[in-house]
Amino acid sequence: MGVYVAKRLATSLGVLLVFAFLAFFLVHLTPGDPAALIVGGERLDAARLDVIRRQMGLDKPIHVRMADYFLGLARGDLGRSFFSNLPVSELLVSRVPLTFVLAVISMLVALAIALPTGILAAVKRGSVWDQAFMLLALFGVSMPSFWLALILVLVFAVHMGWFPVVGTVFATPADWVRNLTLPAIAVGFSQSALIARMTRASLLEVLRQDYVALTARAKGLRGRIVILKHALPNAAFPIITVIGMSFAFLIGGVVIIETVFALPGVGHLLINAVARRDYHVIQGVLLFIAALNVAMNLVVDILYVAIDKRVKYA
Amino acid sequence: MSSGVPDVRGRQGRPVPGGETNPLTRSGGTRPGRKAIRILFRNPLVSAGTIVLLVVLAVALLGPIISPYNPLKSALRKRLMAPSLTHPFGTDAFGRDVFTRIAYGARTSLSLSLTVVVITSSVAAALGICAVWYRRLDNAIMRAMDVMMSVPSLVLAIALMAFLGGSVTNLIIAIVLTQIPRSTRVVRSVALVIREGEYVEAARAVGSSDWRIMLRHFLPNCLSPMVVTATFLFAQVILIESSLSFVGVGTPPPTPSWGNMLAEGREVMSIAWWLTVIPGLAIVVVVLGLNLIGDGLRDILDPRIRQ
Repeated sequence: MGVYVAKRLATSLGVLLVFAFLAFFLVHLTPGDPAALIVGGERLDAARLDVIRRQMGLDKPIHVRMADYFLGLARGDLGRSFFSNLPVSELLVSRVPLTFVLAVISMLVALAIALPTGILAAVKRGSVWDQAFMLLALFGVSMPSFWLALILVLVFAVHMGWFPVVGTVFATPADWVRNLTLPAIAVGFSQSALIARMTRASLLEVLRQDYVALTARAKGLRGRIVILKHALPNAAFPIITVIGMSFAFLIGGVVIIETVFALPGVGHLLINAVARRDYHVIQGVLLFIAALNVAMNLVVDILYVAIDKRVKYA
Repeated sequence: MSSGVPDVRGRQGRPVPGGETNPLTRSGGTRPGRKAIRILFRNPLVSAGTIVLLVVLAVALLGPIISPYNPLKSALRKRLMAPSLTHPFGTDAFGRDVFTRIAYGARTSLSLSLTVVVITSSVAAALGICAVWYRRLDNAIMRAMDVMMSVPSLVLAIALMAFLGGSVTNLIIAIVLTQIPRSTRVVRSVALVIREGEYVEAARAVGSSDWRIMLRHFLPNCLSPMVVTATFLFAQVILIESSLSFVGVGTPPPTPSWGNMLAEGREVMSIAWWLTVIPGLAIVVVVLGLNLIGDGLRDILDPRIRQ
């Protein structure tokens, strides 16, 4: 177990390190002068070009730049924004809480919808419930979550006036609730479709096994107990996996949804940086999300080994 | 991330979809092609999905011919007209006919996504098969895929567009790069089982070249799971393209794309609901059709469900 965790940790760090290299080369080896690209939107102002070139360290040779970059990373220094001149790490720290809260609530919404419907659909396979839920889930995976968000805004914000159209003020807890309800439902619903389909499929697989289909029932256990005590724990592993895997999907959804509601989170930071070609910010957000995602996968893999005694790695 | 990418973990050690149990390639009767089609359309999901897609295809191909309007030319006097007989889907903030733009948008979305799917599947097939056949490459290729998957594909695509700059070609490059890892994993997992097959051993024994073995034995046997993956990928790419266009880093305007239309509709949402509802429905219909076909194909090809 310990060896496995150490190995897995080393691979994760390796992946991140290589990704950091890629992110460096994206900024520094993209054809053309990045400084000119940034200034290009405005008039080509030689003085400003010079400032940006110096900020990016473009006046130094590439191996020096790379050394600077990695030394900076080691200290948690992700460079500065070309526009606000604030450190990227500071920008991230100010944006992360909102994105984190939105992601967690969305996931809770997703699980609250997906687990009961997925289980019910599997247990009552072929019933009206099963068909209705799975049809709904099929719509869920076929619908861009940002469009669902737009529809929710159209109905509940524009027409009913229950929620704000965009959420920029976060003064009181009530503000958080009002601003995040619609975004969380939009992201959570898309996510739940994915998880519900997976829950149903893996539970069906387990229900077909002999120890459920024959043994437990032969012991005279009641249907509900068979499902809760015997089938569900064994279906849990694929479900945990899909929840872990869908984390990446969740982050992608949150990034776009923040744009819909103008929520000042990490996604909003990224999209604004992309629009202004604020390279250090883009790089910083990428590295941050990569680290988060890799950490999440690591946790899921370790949970897997920790919970299931049958799985032996290392 | 696609809902429906075949569950690779669950497949290991089971009969490969695409081996001789595969109903679509199993030779029986004199006309395997026609038989395959019959099996395909006996599946209600595949039939429903195909009908939906044919309708969209008809709109994409015929819409611009039937419609008397220009998708790009603004007619300010007719702006923001609600759906009516002359403009079945209404007009947008520039007075352009929404139906016409939806039809052109379908051309944009479908052709771009198809291009991405073809390139991604080809590269993934090459990488996945090479990783399995040349064992020394396996680790390098798969770790490279891990690195590319360390960031959610949508986020990576957005960032790539910032560095590449907005154009249709760059959009295709960005999406292809983000989608290759997942497809490669699917191909590899199938190819791993094929490698242990006796026919591969036999081919090697009679001295077939690596190329011949990979093209004649691996590729055909990987094909069915690849088709399922590609169908879900197609759906996924349409969603990604529309998301990218919605946040302004996708198909560059003024080319009509469903994501662009939704972004424009967002500005006038309170007075023109149809500009938000209709392009979104177009996306849902196409993606739903593709997912239906993907689900159906998977049911047909998965021997566990078919029994």
